Amino acid sequence: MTAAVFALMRKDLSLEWRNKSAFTGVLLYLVSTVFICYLSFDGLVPVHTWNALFWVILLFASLNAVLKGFLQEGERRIPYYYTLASPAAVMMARIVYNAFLMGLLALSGWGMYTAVMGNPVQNQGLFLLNLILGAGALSAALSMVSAIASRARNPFTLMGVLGFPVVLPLLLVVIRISASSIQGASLAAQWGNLLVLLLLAGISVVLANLLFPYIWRE
Amino acid sequence: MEITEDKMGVVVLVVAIILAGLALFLFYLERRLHKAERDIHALGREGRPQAAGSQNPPEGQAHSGSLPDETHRIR
Amino acid sequence: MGPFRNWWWKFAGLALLFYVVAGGFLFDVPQLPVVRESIRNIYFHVGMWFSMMFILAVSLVFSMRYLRHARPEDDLKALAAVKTGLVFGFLGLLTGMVWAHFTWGRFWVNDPKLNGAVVGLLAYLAYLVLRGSVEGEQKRGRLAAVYNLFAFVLYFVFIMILPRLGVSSIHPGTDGNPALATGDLDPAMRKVFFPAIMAWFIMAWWVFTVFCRIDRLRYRVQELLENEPTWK
Repeated sequence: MTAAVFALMRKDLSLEWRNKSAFTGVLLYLVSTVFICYLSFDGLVPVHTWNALFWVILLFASLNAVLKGFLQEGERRIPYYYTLASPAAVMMARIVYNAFLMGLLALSGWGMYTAVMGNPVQNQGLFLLNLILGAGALSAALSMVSAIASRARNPFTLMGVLGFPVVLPLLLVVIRISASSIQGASLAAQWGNLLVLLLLAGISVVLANLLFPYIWRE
Repeated sequence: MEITEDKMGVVVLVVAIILAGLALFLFYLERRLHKAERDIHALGREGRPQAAGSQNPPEGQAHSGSLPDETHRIR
Repeated sequence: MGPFRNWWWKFAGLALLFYVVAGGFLFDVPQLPVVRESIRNIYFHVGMWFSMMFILAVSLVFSMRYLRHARPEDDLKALAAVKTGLVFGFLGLLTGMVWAHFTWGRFWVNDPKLNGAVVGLLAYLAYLVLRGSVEGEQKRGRLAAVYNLFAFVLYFVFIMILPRLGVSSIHPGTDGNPALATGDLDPAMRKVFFPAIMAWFIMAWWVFTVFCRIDRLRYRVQELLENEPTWK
């Protein structure tokens, strides 16, 4: 199965590389939202707001990014893939690819955000680790939700509606770790929370692999 | 406001009346449902001899307008 | 009572509920600080919430069954259970808000347990929205069942890890259990509390069966309409 996963990932990566529409699209979205924040807040925000705002921006960008991936598959190619690989492999490839994409987006978003809104973070390392792990966990949960939403009539509205309840617990943990890293907490202190993050991500991945086979043929 | 026995008694009475109303509503619903179920059952049986050739599936297994591969064996 | 199916347990449930209302308000309760008389809300709020959780678990079971066997009956029951769960969830939320007003001074506080409760209800509202956005009976049933499973498991994990996150909450409840542990419960209250729980479970089940029957009727009507001879 890992061979199939890698093959599918390579396919997605090369497709994306040739025509960077999804990535650049979401990047533009990030630029716009960060810019709006800059204009509204003029770079002066209390620390809690800084943190929450950043994650809200990232969340919305992720919703878009992950859903686009599923919608772009194209009607005729899908049955072809499904003759080549198991549904679990297809899902796994999607999740890993999305995690990679979201990691990139999160880092770009972070770069833009700190450039414009300042960087009050004391423990940069923990913040960035949380960022990457959080992006990965979000991608796992959102991939499954996108799989569901992309098969319905109005996927973009549905994505928000279905995604929020699923993602909120994850977001809570991520924001908690993020906030404490701003205050200068050490990795050792936040170890428990990071484990919880990994647990949520792991469960999302397992569930996605178990449940995707039931809906992939729609 | 002091809470006396009498006031509590009034509260109990009010809540009990509300509950009784809800209970009556539920029983009324049940009556309507029962009637509707009987009618549907009669209609169903009536329609069966008419529909020669068309499959009237037994209860709980209707697949009207189903696609050919609907068994969905998950590998 | 011909038209009333299984009236005995429905009557029993109602009788218990009347007893709970009478006893809940008239019997003595321990005088605790802050809550004082409003502790009586336990007989209502907690029962509604517990029965909601039970009914949502039932919905989960039917969703799983639907994924397994693709019987429309299971999908129908899962939907009815979600609807019932939402009804009792909102009742629980309302009673909770009233209680909050009398003990904490506000109808809502920024508390993780409360927020968690709302997130759960949002997930099931999302389930209903999802069902409304998909056409095709089988497709709808499958997508909805998958979402039900996904959301439920993640939510369950969330509830379990909440205490681990070290969040402090002013909502009463020991680790993992948002209500009072039964050990905590004053013996004077137990004689109304346990009947209350039973009563609310019965009421929830009753509402569930009513929703089921309504949906089943609607389904059968649709079936009959579709099987109309084409020369009509």
